[in-house]
Amino acid sequence: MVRQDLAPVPHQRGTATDAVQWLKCPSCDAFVYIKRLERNLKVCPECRYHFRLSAADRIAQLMDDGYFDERGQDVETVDVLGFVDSKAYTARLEQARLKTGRRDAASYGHGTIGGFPVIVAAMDFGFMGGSMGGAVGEVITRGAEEALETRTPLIIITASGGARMQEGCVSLMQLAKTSQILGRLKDAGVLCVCLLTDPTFGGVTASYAMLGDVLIAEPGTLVGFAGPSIIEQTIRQKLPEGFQTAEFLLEHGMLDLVSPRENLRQTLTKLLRMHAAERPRHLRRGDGASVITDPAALSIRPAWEVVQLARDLGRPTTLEYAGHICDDFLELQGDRLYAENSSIVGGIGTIAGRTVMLIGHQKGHNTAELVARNFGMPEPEGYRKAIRLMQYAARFGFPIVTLVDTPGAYPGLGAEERGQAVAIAQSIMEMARLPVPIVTVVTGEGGSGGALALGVGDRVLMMENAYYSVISPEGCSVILWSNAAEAAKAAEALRVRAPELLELRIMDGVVQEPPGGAQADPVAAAANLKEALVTCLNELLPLTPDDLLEARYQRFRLFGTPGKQPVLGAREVAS
Amino acid sequence: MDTQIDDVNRRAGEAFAAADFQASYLLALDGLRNRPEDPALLGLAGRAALELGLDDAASYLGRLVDKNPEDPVAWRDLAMALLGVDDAAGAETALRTALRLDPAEPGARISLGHVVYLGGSVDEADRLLWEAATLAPDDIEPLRSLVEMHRMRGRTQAALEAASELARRAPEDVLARLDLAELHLMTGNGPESLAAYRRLRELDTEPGHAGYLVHAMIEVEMQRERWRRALDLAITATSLDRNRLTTDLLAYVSTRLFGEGDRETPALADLSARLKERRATHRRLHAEALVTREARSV
Repeated sequence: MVRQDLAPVPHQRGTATDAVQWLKCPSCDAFVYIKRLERNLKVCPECRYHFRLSAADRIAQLMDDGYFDERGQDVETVDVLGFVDSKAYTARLEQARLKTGRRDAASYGHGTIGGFPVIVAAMDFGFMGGSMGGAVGEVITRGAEEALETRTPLIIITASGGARMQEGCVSLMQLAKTSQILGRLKDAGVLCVCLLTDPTFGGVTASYAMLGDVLIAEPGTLVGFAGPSIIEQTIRQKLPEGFQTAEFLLEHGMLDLVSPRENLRQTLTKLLRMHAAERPRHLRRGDGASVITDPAALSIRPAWEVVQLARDLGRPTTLEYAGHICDDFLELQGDRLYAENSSIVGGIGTIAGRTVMLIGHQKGHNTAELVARNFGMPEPEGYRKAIRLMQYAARFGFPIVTLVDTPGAYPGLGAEERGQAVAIAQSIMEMARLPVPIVTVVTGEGGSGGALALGVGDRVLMMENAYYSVISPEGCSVILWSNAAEAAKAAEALRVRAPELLELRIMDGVVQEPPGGAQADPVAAAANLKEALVTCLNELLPLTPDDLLEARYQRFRLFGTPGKQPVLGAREVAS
Repeated sequence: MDTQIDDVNRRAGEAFAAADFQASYLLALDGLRNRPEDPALLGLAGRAALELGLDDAASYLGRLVDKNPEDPVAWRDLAMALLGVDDAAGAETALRTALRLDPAEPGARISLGHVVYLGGSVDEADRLLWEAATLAPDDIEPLRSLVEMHRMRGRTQAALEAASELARRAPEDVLARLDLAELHLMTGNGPESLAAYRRLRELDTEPGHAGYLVHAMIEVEMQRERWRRALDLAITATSLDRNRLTTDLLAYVSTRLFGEGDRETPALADLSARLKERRATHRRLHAEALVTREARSV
């Protein structure tokens, strides 16, 4: 209690030594010394809770030297309805301005991140809960229009409770106004990255926040359409722990990545660098072995041995190949529809200085990894993610590299309910229509439609010890021999090996593997793979989109065409 | 030479006063090259580094207290720098020295209160923060921390004392009034709690918050078994909040007044748990907003 024996002394708050010194973390309840919090980019050092930032703080943290050339300062907030609740809207605006020193909840301007020019539009939750009225929509739209006009990447930082009630349907129309300009950016192939910050809800989520090419959120950020209390009251159920957090959204396929605050600048810089990279039509070759295109140059092993080699748990996975062959790589996740499926991975990377979209099936080396990746058997969401990433690549003119290694698409109840066949079919068709070079390499197992869904390339290669088949040898054996034990015979009969598929023109070339297979020396295998990709890209990059599409059409048109389809000689199936 | 150094000192000091900490820091470092033990330059370098969040703040301020061991402000600033790099033990020593040299310094006392609290000495923290609150009557930070500390430890009466003082000093502060209302409710002081909630209905103008307040007022009236008044408030609540809790409260209070009806009466324990959760949500909204505002302002 107040001590009677102590006399008050002058005590002013000004610089760090005088200002508010301690804050209680809303997440872990720890008292945190404010300078320590600041040094940690306002992330609680005890529990990693990311404190909400003002737009100004966010810009200071992200932009080079905190520099931001603000535009659109003439945008006025208009009380279009003459709205009054317990207070007049104009009075609420005035109060918010006094509290935040801002004109409204969003601002935009020019600057650089990692040396790359950007236009940034940032929202501030502190101004009337970041609600979106006409002025906010105008700021976002102007930022996007300038991005379109100057072909400068646009970064939108969202923080909002939703549309601003006080502007009625005019605020509702901001969803359409902002969405249509983002549609134009997409059509024009101008990068838009949305950084979703805590909290982002309602009309902002139902428009521009979710329409970026890349969606990033900080850990723990709450993002949703309806607020949790509304949902709880409607469905009369308690919502699960972590509902509507960034991690929840990532798991449900709505985000590309969740990035801690300290990595955001680095992530954005990497993304911008890859988008701004030169687009050489000729890539420098490395020191890997050349692609083999003559079937006679390949030795032939027993088919079942090849199948076993292709399934070896030690073989490099797509992400490992990405690490070896890409100078830069940023994994992007989610199908934006239902779930993140990690049996297929993808992201932007650079190979020999050229930005590409790399997509592939992902397995693992042990039981835990295999279970986590569902043994490389994708559900529909995996294919839908692949389609999304391929369309992304097409928008920006990035060649596509696909790495195939799957026993097949997952034969599950849920997969069927959610349209496994539809997803595969759409992926196959979409690949046939993309106006950018596509190189596919079967790196392990090429299991039927689940493999082909990533395999409609201008050039289709396979690793020396990979196999590609319409059905698994075991499945074929069960159906035709009525016994799974005849899988080895089935493998021979199906002609699943590289030399045979090269002869059938299913493959355009074979990537050599080191002695003992790719699993024996992943680095050498990756060097050979990179060499093959560079060779193929050098052939394809000079072609026009029309030529690419026509050649791809003819490539797949050939199969089964009488007189054109090569035929293999009869082989006796070894017992 | 001396004239040049004095000029650097002056410019570094002016830059610091103008909050251009980067310039102040660079000028001070420049000056220290020629006069490495100059206390004024060490102080400017350390304090500017502290403002800029640089690692070497503690180094310069450490050298400053070596030169001027009787300077309480230097000790206090050294403590701030040490806290910035998570050296709580070093900071505690520095803060105790600062207070020994200047017992009336509120800033050091506030920080020492927090540091000893983190070390588990709640009673000493309580004493230090009350002393700080007495020495700096315009500063509500120590009182707010006292409320938080005692609430977290379940020391309701101690929290109420701090909250009462806080609400007296900051009559427009919503969180302070909210704490006061809730702590009175928790200690069974119905009339005081209701008075604080009534005041909050004027202060808390956030859209949708009136529902929280009326629910809390119903809870107070239920605690006091004033069922007629609780019913009036429950009826008011129906126009403010469509939360299912509102209809359940209405049903419960009606039953208490008029006896069982057709509708199943919700259990009191369940209602109490939901009301408590609702109070916690309301408080969290204000506490988070306050923390965000304070975090923004630095």
